[in-house]
Amino acid sequence: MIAAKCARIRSGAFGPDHQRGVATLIVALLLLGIISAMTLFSLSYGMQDRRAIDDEMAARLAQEAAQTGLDQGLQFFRAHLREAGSDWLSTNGPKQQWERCMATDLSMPCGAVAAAVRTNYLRHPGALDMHDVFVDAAGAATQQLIVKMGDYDVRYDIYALLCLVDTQHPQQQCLDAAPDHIGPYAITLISYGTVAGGDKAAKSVERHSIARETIAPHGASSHAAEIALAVVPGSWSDADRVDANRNYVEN
Amino acid sequence: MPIASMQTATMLKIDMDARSRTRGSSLLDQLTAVVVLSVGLLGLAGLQGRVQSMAANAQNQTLALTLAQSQIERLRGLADLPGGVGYEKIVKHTDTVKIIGGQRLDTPFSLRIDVARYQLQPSAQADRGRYLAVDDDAPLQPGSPEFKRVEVTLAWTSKTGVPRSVSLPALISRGTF
Repeated sequence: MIAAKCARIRSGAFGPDHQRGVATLIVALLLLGIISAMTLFSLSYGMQDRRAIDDEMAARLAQEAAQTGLDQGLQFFRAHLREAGSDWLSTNGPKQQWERCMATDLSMPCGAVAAAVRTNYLRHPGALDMHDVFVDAAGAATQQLIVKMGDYDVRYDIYALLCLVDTQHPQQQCLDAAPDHIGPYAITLISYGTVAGGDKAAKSVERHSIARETIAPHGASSHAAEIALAVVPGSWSDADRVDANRNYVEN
Repeated sequence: MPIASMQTATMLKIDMDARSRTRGSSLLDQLTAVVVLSVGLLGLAGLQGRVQSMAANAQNQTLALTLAQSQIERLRGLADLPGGVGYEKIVKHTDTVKIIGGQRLDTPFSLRIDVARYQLQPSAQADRGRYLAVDDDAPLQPGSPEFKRVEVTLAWTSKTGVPRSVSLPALISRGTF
């Protein structure tokens, strides 16, 4: 028996190639591998979580951007209270701004209105140019009063639709032909907000949101300047989804 | 001594020599394994700590944004009060947020609200005038539109001692004149 054991020793069965220490090293490396895999999985989960939070933040900031657009749009029309209801309406006049929506026009803002009543609305062509009434901190004319929200760059475009309220046929809501002078009216503002950028360490994101609300003269006064535009209660709504023409898609 | 006994003694010596050699190598290998495992585990622990700190920061960021949004909604609600009563109360303000919904926060937030007031003023460059910054105590003009640009900032210190903040600007329109 002893002779057999000695023979195994001589043959190297207990030699440096078959030590228990090597097994320990292998087991340690195996453990390290398993723990590494678990940590990497956890890291990947953490990164995904972080990205989801960044996405959610960007989406919420896009909604804030759209809301800021509505607020600035309201102030724009308050500043243009007189022209918006007179000069801008004068058919073919030099200051005409409002144009009737075509039945087939799917571009913003006409496309945001149901096809059946689209021609009852007048649109302000393109996004509102607000340089004439707003200035930035340095006193220079500006289109946007807010351009940054944290790490995100902000952009908002505001579109407007005019409804000349048909008091004779309330079911029709808006007059289908522009009168020479304005009567009761309501302006629907549609704001398209975009945020881009974010945490530089994470992947840059871009999110859009759209919000709309209707503004109309509030109260009556003998002084035109005191007829302020105010938000019509219950007219506000928003959506995270828009179609190719930036038209509103209900959530 | 009989020959058989001598043979056995020699073989036992060989056996002991081989065992002692094996034991020495095994210790070295085990030490190597321990070092490799320790270095690896330390690295992974550091990584794990970073992931946890990142997650905690993201959680605080989301909470700060929620708080900022709720502050802006509160200010909008104030601005809608009739007669401009609430609108006038929108002024620069600082506070510390320690409790939300009855729950004490692990990380207190410092809240700052900056307010700039703009009024439509006559301007040589624009027919309708322009919105220009005015002092907080400037009187309200009944026929002149105005709004406030507010910036809500929530700041906190991360567990690693890094100062962090979330800022949310907004325009608050006066509800009615």
